Amino acid sequence: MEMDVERSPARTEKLDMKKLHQISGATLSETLISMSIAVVLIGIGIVGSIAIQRSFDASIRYANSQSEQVRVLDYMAMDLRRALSVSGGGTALRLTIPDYYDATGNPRTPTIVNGTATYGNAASVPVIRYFLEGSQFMREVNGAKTVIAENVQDFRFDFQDFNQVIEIAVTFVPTFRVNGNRDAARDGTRAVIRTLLRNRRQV
Amino acid sequence: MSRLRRLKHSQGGSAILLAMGILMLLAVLSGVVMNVLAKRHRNAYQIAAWHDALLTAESGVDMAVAELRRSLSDPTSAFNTWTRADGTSGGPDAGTTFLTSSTLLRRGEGGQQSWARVEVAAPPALKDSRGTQWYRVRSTGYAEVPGGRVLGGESLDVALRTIDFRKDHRTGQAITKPQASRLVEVIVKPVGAFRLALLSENRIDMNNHNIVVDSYDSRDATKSTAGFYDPAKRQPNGDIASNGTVIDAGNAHIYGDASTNGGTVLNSTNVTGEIRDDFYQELFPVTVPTMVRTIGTPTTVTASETVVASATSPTMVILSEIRLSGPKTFRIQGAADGSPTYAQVLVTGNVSLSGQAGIVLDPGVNVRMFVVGDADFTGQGVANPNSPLNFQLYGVERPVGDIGAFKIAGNGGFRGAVYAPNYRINMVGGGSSDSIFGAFVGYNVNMTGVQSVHYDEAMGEGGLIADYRVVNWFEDER
Repeated sequence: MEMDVERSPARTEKLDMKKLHQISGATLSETLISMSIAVVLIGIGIVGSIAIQRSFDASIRYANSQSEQVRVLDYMAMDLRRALSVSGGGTALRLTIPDYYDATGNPRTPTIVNGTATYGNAASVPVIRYFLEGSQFMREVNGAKTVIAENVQDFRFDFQDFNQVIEIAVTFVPTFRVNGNRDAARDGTRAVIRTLLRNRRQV
Repeated sequence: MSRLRRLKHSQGGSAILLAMGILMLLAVLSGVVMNVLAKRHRNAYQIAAWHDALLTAESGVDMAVAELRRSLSDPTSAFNTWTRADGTSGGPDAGTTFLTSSTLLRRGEGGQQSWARVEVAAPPALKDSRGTQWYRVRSTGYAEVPGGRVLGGESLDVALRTIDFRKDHRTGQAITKPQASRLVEVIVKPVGAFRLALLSENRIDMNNHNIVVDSYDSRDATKSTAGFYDPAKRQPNGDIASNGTVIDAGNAHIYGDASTNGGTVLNSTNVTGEIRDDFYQELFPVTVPTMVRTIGTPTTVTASETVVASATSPTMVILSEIRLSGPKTFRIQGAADGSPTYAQVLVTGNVSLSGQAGIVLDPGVNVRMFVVGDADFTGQGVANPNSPLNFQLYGVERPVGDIGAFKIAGNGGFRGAVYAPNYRINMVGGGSSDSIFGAFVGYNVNMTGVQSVHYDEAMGEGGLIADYRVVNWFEDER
């Protein structure tokens, strides 16, 4: 088309004007149509991007919650493996561990007391507690609290005592579904550890 | 024409700009998503490596315990590949001598490796009241972390899982690849040969429902009277177990657990404890002890004889046989005041007691008797006024397939401990009741007639070392 215009200037002038008229004449309708399409497309885009953003945000929250969940379970498993005694319920876990560290934080040399290998003072062993406090999950060692997970107000943990084996399950509510069965959604996030107490359990 | 061109150029330019803008938007979105995913991906790898490090550390503990156990069955090769702190090789046998080993344990998926550094120490503080050495094992498990020198998790993750990128935070040494490490410390305790009332390599058979197996604790006045068995203070720790698959309890009254190695306990109606099928304990053979005779005679016992036990180093007696009948006795004489004295007897042939014959121990005498041949304690058996642990009878190793025989019979009231994993132990009851005090380990353990075995729980702390057990476990979280 462009080549024809180049070859015949007289005709081209006529054509061009005609075309320009045609173009300018079509601009309004085209604009309206294109604007309508654009509005629809932008609407779809906005709705879609909001949905994607919410989904992305929910995915991030889910991943974060899983990360917090794994961290909480790893902390508990680490302490349970070396525990001397364990007690727990629906909202808290309490355990004692050998008095391994001295006042400077270095390992003690064990001794044999009454036929048992003992670190430090066997009558006063460190106590560790796990519990939820508001939106934070706490680990408390001899009264000194440390946050081990944040934004976990919907966390719940279950404790099962099989004597020398302890089972802990941690669940949370994912935010993918605003409505619907929250308990069913919670069940889908259940992560469980079964830990063998390496030391002979005292209590 | 020029207007048309301008218009066309203008339209073309906006399309490209629009396309580029969309591409940039998509690129930014992809970048954000990739960044998030990469961080999660790294975090997953770092968590996995941290877990791998614990498995590796525990494997290191297993290696150390395996070497300690090897020292029982094959002492010349135990710890051969390990290196002491002073550069020599060997075991942790010299008080505070430490032993280290750095061994590649496995190559994991993706080519990352893990390995353990293990130290076995024998500190003086870990000697018990009898002078037996316990061991302190510190095993550090290392696992390589893939994904580069970038932290994957949050700050709270770092507080729990330390990942080293440039240098080992435990030693300060520079490292070439990122790694996770965890340190486990365990205390390993030697375990005596007499941890159970009855233990067999193959099977246990009891054929009388009046048989009783129970326990008492000579160290505890609430569980014994003047250190001896009291039926009113019976304890439920008369455990019986077999490395084989069959125990026929014969409806005997067993006040304790009955355990097999994946097998069955038949006629277990009167077993008060647990019936278990997950038992196994390796029974190390007893080698002939290297002994130098400290007294010239006797060299054989066929008539009444007396040897004097020593208060310091054990009196060493080597006999070709003990064969007594009628009222003859073989007396091991102790101190007049009954204070502890010791003797070790090696019988290179058989032991046979019949009629009223017997082996007599004075108060305070401790005897370890090693028998190469067979033994028949019929007659009066062993007159031992002390704890069962004061008379320890060992059946030494025999050629493969050659199973020896120990017989304990009559109303002798045998009081002793028998460890003979290559012998059939036949315990024959007599009369309406016959009490035997002690513990018995054999290839087969067979009980017939009416008799009772009363296991002294204090025996678990005595006898030759038969195994090593982890009694304390701690992860050093630093």
